[in-house]
Amino acid sequence: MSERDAAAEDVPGRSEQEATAATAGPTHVGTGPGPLEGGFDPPASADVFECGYCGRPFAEEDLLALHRGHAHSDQLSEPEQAAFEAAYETETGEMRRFQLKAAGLVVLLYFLLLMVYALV
Amino acid sequence: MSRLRTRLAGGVAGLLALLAVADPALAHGGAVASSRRTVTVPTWLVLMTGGAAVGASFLLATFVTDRAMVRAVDGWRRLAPGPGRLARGAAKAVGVLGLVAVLAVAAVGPTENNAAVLFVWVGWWAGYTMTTYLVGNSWPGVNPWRTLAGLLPTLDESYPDRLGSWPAVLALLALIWVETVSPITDDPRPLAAVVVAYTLATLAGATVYGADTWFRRADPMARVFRYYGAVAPVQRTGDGLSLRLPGGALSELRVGDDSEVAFVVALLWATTFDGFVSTGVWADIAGTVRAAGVPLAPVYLAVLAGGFGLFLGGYRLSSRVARRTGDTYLSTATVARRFAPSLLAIAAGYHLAHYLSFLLSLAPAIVVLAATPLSTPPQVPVLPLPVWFDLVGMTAILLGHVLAIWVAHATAYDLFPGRLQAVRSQYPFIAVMVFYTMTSLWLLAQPEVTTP
Repeated sequence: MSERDAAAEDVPGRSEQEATAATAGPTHVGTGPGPLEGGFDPPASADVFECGYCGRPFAEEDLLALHRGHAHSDQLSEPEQAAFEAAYETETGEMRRFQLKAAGLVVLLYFLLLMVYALV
Repeated sequence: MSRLRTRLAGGVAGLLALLAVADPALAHGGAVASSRRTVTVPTWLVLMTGGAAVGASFLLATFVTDRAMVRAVDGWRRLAPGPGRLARGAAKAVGVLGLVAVLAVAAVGPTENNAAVLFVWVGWWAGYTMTTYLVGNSWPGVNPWRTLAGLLPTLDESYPDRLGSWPAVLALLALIWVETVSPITDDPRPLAAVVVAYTLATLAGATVYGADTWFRRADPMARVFRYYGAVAPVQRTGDGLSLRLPGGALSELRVGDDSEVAFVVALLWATTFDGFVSTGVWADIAGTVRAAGVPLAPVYLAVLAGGFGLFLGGYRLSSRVARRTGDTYLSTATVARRFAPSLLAIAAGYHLAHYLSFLLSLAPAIVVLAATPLSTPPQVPVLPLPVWFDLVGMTAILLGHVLAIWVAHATAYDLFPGRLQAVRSQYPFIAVMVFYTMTSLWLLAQPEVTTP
């Protein structure tokens, strides 16, 4: 056993096949796992939107558009760029509505607990 | 371990009672205490508050939607030079000498209050493990079996890949079972036998498959500390040390296959099981079972195995549900692998909650016993802990879960292109976390009892 190996045992992601992925860092935002094989399991009967650049399957066209924008931003064609921006806009709106509900829920939780503490 | 703790806890209570009788001031204090209205929060409310805190943390985390920021937080690091040759040599020497000392003292030392027993369970299994997730994993440097294996020739057989990390999972569960049913937490002689058996098995495995392969794949302890170490702020890199935010390195931990997911779950279940078998509920069950004439050792094994199956099944089920709520074609196994590191933060938090008071109250005893390892001192000091110390444990559980929520959030943003999709994919995991928070808070709130 060498010192280097002892050190390598300790480094997360340094085990054999993952060594390259670890040095590259998690730059594949929104693209799913690094290697494609076995990582996906699309149902046979459903619609599959496959990425033309890397082959990853998505359940919805908007998700594919978002994936292309995040993972392949330097290679996009103009319609793909437009689709990404449109999907991103739509998602931002949905996200705002979700966050509004989340904030409401936090406040509700807080006051419910406050009341329970007051009663107990 | 729980038995040892209960006995010593009894000692602490006795000591406190003695002090109360001896000190007249406390008698007056008693009158004040009875006139003061004691504010106690009922257990169900503590559980509810804990669950709500974890749920609220998730809701607040959904406000962080900037991918670059999520990555920057997890990627933050400061580099520092690694330990020099001298420090590495010293760590190895400490490890090997420690192993030899434990074996010697356990074999020939006194059978009551043996320093080796205390060192293994309090110093190593509670205290040293804490350093691996609070500071950094030093085990690859200290691991005496690794140092010894390096001195032996190796056959370098190729490790059977289909075994994966299942040997490590089984070995961890087996060690936990032996720890609960055998007297090795009290009696030094069986402890010495178990250490010798573990040493022989480890050295044999390392000789056949090579030390690197063995400690990376099959050895349970190296993996326990490696996984806990991924939570820690100090990480070893190829060329030195790097300082990370706590949990930051979890985003890079690759849990490679189903057997490694199972190990993460086993690690979480191991501490939970240790907590469960020292509750009054379990004492009642075990008492009834024993009264019916059933031997307890297989019952413990069944509960250990059944609980592990339940935990693993629950986690797999939430991965399957996450696949649906996240509207993704990632396979269930991939989802389970990618979210598994977040469980390690929870495991670390619960470990701290479960063992910190145990460690602190017995720390003086280790020092005294270590000074005279071969004779029993007339008195073993125990540090009495204030009542508010329970809060530290609860805080540790909550912090572990909040860290886990952040890790799961970062994982989801790494996995999924949609922001809302990333949030929705976490629903089942958050539900499980809220449930587990309440379970572990309940376990923590139970008074420790002596179980058969």
